[in-house]
Amino acid sequence: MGSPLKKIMLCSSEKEIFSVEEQVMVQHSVIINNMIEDGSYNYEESKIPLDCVDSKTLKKVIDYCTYHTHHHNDNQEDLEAWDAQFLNVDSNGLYDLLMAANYLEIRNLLDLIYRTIKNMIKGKKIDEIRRILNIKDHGFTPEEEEQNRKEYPHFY
Amino acid sequence: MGNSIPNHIRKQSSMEKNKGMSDVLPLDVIRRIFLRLPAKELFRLRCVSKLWHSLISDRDFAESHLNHSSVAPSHSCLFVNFLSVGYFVDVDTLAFKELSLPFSRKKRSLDFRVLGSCRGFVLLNRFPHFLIVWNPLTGSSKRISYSHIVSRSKIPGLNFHDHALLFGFGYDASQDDYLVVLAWDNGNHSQFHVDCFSLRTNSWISFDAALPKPFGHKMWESRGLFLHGAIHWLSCYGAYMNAILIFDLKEWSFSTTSIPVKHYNWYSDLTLLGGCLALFSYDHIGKTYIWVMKEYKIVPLSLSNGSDIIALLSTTKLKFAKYNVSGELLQEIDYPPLCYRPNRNFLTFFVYTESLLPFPADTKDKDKKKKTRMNKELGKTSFKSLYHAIVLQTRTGIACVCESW
Repeated sequence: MGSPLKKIMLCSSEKEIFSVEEQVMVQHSVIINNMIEDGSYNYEESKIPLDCVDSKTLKKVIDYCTYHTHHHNDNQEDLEAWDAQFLNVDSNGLYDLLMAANYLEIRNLLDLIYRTIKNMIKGKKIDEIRRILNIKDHGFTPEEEEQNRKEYPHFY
Repeated sequence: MGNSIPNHIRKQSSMEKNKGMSDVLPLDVIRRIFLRLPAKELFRLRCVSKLWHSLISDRDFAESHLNHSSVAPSHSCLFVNFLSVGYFVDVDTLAFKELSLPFSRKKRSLDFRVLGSCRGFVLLNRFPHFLIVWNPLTGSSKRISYSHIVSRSKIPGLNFHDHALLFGFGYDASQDDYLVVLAWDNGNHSQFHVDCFSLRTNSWISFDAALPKPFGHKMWESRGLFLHGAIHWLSCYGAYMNAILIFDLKEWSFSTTSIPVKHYNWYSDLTLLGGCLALFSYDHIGKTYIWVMKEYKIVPLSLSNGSDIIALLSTTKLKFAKYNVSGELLQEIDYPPLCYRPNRNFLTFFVYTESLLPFPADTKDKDKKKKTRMNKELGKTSFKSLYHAIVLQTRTGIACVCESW
């Protein structure tokens, strides 16, 4: 584990450099923690290239990690309210965050996103879920679709 | 490892305009989200798209959902009343909903009973013709004919009311097979047989397992409870005092274990409470007792968030009550009076864990090693059972009549 004062550099897909407290990323990202632990990160020279994460998303990811590092003692309700506000993004934004969290292995952020998507679909009618997730081609043949609608009219 | 993270993931900074989130999410991510949803919800979500349908219908997914789902397993109760009308009781809300049983009611049978449950399947008995294994969530069902047994019987008109002594239904993980166990009497009250139906091979296997002696009518409750790879029957007042009969589905052998509680009462039976084997009984003034086996063999106490349901039968009305693992009464509800008539106790219920599991793949199992497992010595298990007795408050007006069990 590095000292909390140390900084590491992250580089977005647009080659924008973000300087972050090492501790913040080490605590949340399994991948970055591994890099620091095995000594492959050079504090003088290294920049961690995140070619699949754009600047806007990376900034959000860093915001999330920073907030959760400094507010981990806050009460659960406050944290949940902050998380809800944090994930108040459109579905493209949510998708980008999911891919970034998946790439960097930020487990609590992944968990939060899974939960959010789950809540987006839970209890919703099939037609509504298709609209929310923008599913235009459901892949069923017209006969299958008709059969489903006939068999489970209350689902739709 | 070098200074950089290997960029093995294709750059996907934003969704393509024309594609929906579900089209571009990796399958693994969709699966992980699905693991957070209850089985009932997933059954519905199959209709969203063909992709989701195939993910949710997948056998391996159903298996991991049952075992590793991050939501507490949802329990439901299947209840069949004296008119053979089936009801589904939602354990969360205790709401009743009539449901269609997987058989035709043209030929009206007033003797349809729930005999057991295992991994989302329930075993029903349509006397005198057949048994049915049914997954009430997915609707898939399979009939099991008694004809094999009837043909072996020496008595004309074998009657499973009088001749079936034990019914059991469980899962053998070592063979990935569901087994229906039936112990029956060949008519003279001295010759007993045990038959097992394997859902995987779709056949009955007769074997003569060593049954505890003496063995006969009214010595054990006829319906067994499946837990940890074995079926459990509670002793009735008679030859066995305070004992549980256990049939190990892997070894195909019976054993007995004593239980350090005096349970004889107006009514008692085994149930699952918070994932633990529990014994509950009522006395004639309606006082309810529940004992929870805190440790089953070496399996540690597992607490589930879902609490289980226990039906309380009364001579004037039926109540369903829900307890948690500490024995606290969480909720109770009167059963709709129109559906229940006193003194017509042909009603049975079983709590089951909802699952999306299909029947085992229809493969002919050539492995006959099970047949060699006959004539095992009747063992006596010596596992350490920690019982925890909970005496519940007297519930006025509840007396139990449950002769049909």
